Parts: sequence; structure tokens; C-alpha cells
Amino acid sequence: MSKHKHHSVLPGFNLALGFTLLYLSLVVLIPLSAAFIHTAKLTWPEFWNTVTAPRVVASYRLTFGASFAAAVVNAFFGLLVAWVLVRYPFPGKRLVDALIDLPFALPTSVAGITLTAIYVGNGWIGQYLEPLGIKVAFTPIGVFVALTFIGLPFVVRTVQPVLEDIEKELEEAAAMLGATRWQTFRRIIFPTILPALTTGFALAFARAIGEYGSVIFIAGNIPMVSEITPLLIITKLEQYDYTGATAIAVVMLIISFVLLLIINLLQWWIRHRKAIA
Amino acid sequence: MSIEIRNLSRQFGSFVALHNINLQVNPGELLALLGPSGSGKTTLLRIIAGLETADSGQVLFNQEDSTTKHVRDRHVGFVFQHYALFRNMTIFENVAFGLRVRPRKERPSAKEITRRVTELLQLVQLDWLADRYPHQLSGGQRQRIALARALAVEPSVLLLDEPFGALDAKVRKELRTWLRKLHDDMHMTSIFVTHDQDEALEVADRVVVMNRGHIEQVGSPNEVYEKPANPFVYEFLGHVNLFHGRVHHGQAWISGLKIDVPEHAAAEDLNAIAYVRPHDIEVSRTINGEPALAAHVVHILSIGPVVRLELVHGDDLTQRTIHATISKERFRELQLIKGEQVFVKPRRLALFPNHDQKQE
Repeated sequence: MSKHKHHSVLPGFNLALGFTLLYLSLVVLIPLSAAFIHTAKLTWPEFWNTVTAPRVVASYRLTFGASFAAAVVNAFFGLLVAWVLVRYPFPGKRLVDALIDLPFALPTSVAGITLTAIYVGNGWIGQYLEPLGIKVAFTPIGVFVALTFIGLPFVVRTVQPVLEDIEKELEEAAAMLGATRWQTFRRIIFPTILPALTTGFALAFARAIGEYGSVIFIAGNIPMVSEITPLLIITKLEQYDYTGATAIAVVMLIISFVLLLIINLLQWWIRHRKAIA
Repeated sequence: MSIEIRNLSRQFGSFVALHNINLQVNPGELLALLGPSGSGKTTLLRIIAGLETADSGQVLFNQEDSTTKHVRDRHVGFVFQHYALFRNMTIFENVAFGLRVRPRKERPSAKEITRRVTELLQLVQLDWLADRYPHQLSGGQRQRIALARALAVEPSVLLLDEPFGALDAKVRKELRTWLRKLHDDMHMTSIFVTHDQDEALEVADRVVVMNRGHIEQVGSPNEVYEKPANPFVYEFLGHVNLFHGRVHHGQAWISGLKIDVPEHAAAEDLNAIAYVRPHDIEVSRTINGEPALAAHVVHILSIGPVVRLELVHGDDLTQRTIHATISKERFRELQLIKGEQVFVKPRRLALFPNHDQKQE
């Protein structure tokens, strides 16, 4: 071992790490572990019965299913929006660019009430969809619409800077080598933005899983049909069933964690597939 | 393949990038477009490539009008200053790209692609890097890969936009020689853009000197260096000493020296500027009977085969610097020391009378 202590050029590692861990513990780990500890009051059979009740299972399916579908749709349309914003000049571009952030800033309940008003049977859009047999408000489709709304900016804002950074020369080089527009997109541009796109997808997905405010108004909250898991947790809390609420919360936590882990691994794989020497 | 450019013009807003350019590029030629930044050389190259469109005029490949032909159909190889390698692909895939994107009917078999790419990587002497990614390569290596990639589609014309501009001096010199050899082996017509006069003079068969959207002179490196068509070319190619003076009936007065300039016999008392290359300045310790300028040595730089002298002529008010280059032997003969007085006179000069100027 060397006698000399090696100092990094960047000072304050110990302090910074200590603060980071403390902060992370206070803000994230302690509240989360509280949920686990509180749940531990239940016996295994009690826990199992609570989290596998048919109404609860139906809510998982809706929450994760609708969130996934919304994130997929957002990945497509978010990419399209980012593409248009980066590539083409058009009047009112700055305004559109600013509008993208609106779902970030808008109180979720406002978004929920607005969406409901538009999509109900006599609303602006609902009145045209209803005769076609499509009911949006108070159905799982409504949940999907709300989750799509709140997830869009995540994809646009992660893809946009990467798309802006792609040098024009790369596309010119591809064209000079005989590639068509589509080949250039598929072989050059898409692989470059893929890591950012998966990040945007993961963020939109994660946000949708945890979304509450905008969904409860448009969902109608019909048990077994359009009831999301966060709402079930609230319902349990209102009935003073704290352990039941935390039990469901723990399940949600674990599923979310696993899903995000998978997405992160996928991202790591995308990045490293091309960095391996 | 021959390339002809007819009356080409291009404007960006109010900035005239190219003004009525006419140029003939012979088959198999290595042509340099030389000029300062903003001279329009890159715009011209990009129009030939089809990456930019001209406002008016024509580009002809082998006498065939190709002005409106799409980039894809021009079969032109292009090398960018900053390499423009595809970051998400290995070196091998970068070079193979041009072959892989061909329509199925024209696409070579996988085996054939491997063979061709390996051959090209051997040509640029980097076949051992096939599995690496661009960010793992040095600048010089990246540019050689960019060249291999451009050559993969077997272009009959190779265009290079400041190909060595982002490289350090040593690599630059190496690649220059290497490009010349490659061009000769491949039997292509090549055009490269540069702002480095040494590069243009050393590598090219012919040099096109451009300035502000115009072509100032076209000629062999020797022609443009020895017989510059105008003051701009003179100043742009190599170091020069600039003198102001007057010319009248075949005689010039420059800084008090009277010099015969028979080619300007018709000049009637005109202002003129005279250029003298540093190696055309004669330095001596004595006057030798002939008129000469008195100067004193302020700096001596004796690295390499020649000695560069910085001399100052005139008193405090009118003083001006003269740069002179002399051989090592001459330097030893003279045994000059800083601060000493010497006499200088131009051995050869280029005089440009200013015809537009009104008499004062």
C-alpha cells in the first residue's frame, strides 16, 4: 500500500457523498422503508389476501397496462413532435414549444377536469365519439388519455436536445454514400436517439404509474373497470385501513422498481452494445 | 471524369458566396480550391457535390448537365473536415455503409462486402481497427477511415472539404503525401478545399485561388507562386514584403530606390505597390556601389536550412519591418549580430500599378 493518501483534483468527495446519502435517506429511503415496516404488521396470509383481492388485481392491470400503452404512444408521438420542433421552421414554433411543457406545470386536477369536460358524452370531442360507439370518459380509455397527456413532455424534452445535436454532416455523408432518407433515419438517426428515447419512455411510464389527480376525474372509478391502484390506496386510507393501504403501496413499489430496473438495464445494453472495444 | 462549371452563382441573403464562376476540371486531375474563409471555396465544392444548390449556372459531369441531379445519383465521394463518421457503427460498418444501403439488386453479397471493406481498410492501413468505434480513433485515423468510406462506393470524383484542417501539423503532412499517392493510384478526379497554401501548392496539380466569391487565378502551383496574377494572390501565397511607391515610364521609386521595371513602360506617374518575397531580398554589409536601403537587424531566427532575418528600415517615424530569408552559408559569411546595420535591395519584385487611382 502506498504511504501517501491520494487526493483527487476534485475536492469534497467525502462531504458530498455524505450529504447525498443523508439527503437520499431523508427524502426517499426512510419514507419508503416506513411503508415496508408498516406493512410488516400484517401476517403473510393477510398480506397476500389484501394484495391479490380481485378488485386490487384489476387495478394493477389497469394502472400498469394503461401507463405502458400511454408511454408507448408518447414515445411515437413525442418523437414526432420533437422531430418537427427541431427540424422545421414554422410560424408559432416557439409557442408550440412552450405548450409542450404545459402538462408539467398544470395542476393535475385541472388537467383531469378539463379532459373530462371535453370527453364526456356532451363534451367538445365526446359528442362526436359517442355516436361512433367510443366512450372515453369514465372508461379505461379515459385513463389512457389522461396518462398520455401528462407523459408527452417527458419524451419530447429528452429526445429534443439529442436530435438537435445530430450534425447535419452525418446525414449529408449518408446521402453522399447513396442512402435514401429512410435508410438514413433508420441506420443513423434512430440509433443515435434511441437511448434518449428509452429514457423519455421510462420517465413517461414512471410518471403515469404514479399519476393520480388527472386520472380520478376522467376514470369514473368504477371498481374492476376503471379504478387505478393509487385511488385504491386512498380509498383504503379513508377507511382507516392503513396497513392495507401500505401493503398495496409496497406491491406497487416493487413492480415499479422492477420495471424501471429492466428499462435501465435495457438502456445500459443499448449504450454499451456500441461502446465495447 | 471531367467536371465543368458554367456561370455559377450563389447568394446567401445579401452575401455573395459565388459570383459567376467558370472552371474546367480535367479527368484524373487533383485540383485545389484555395482561399481565405468566406471566399466561397466550400460552397463551390458543396454545389459540385449536390449538397448545396446554385442560384444560377450549371455543373457538368463528362459534358452532361448534372445541376439538378440528386446527391445520391452523382456517384461522388465526399470527405468532410470533421470526418462525419457514424458514431453508432464500427469502423467496418462505417466503410461498408455505402455498399449496404444499395438497392437489393445492386447490393454485393455479404462475402463480397467483407472482402471490399477489408481491402479498403488495408489501403488506408487501418485494417486492425475494423471492430473499433470512431470515438476510439485519433483524428488522423478517423480521416483515413472517412476516405475509405467515401472510396467504398467507387466514385469517379472525390471531393474533400478541408480534409486535414482539424489535424495537427505532423499528421497533416503525412496525410498530404499519402493523399497524393492515393489519388494517383485510384485514377479519380479529385478536388480539395483548403486555406493552407503549402498544402495546395504541395499536393495539387492545379490550384484555383479564390477570394470573395471570385476566382483570382487558376494555374499550376509553380505558376501561381511565381507569377501571381494580382496583389491578392501575391499576398495570399507565402510571405511577402509590401512596399508603396510610384511608377513612371518604366521606372519605379520604392522607398527611395530607383528600380527599372520595363514591363510598365506605359505607366504615367501612378501609385504602385510592390511585393518582394523574403528570399528575394539581398542582404549585404556594404553598399557595393549600387543603391540599397539601410536597415538594422532586430531579430535572427536560424532554425532549419534557412535563416530568417527581421530588419527595420528608416528612422523612428518612418520605420518599417522587412523580412529577409538567407541561406545558412550566406549567414555565416555575413556573421550578423542583432542590432548591426546592413544594406538590402530587392533582387526581384512584382509591381502592381494602381490604375484606378486619381493623381494627387
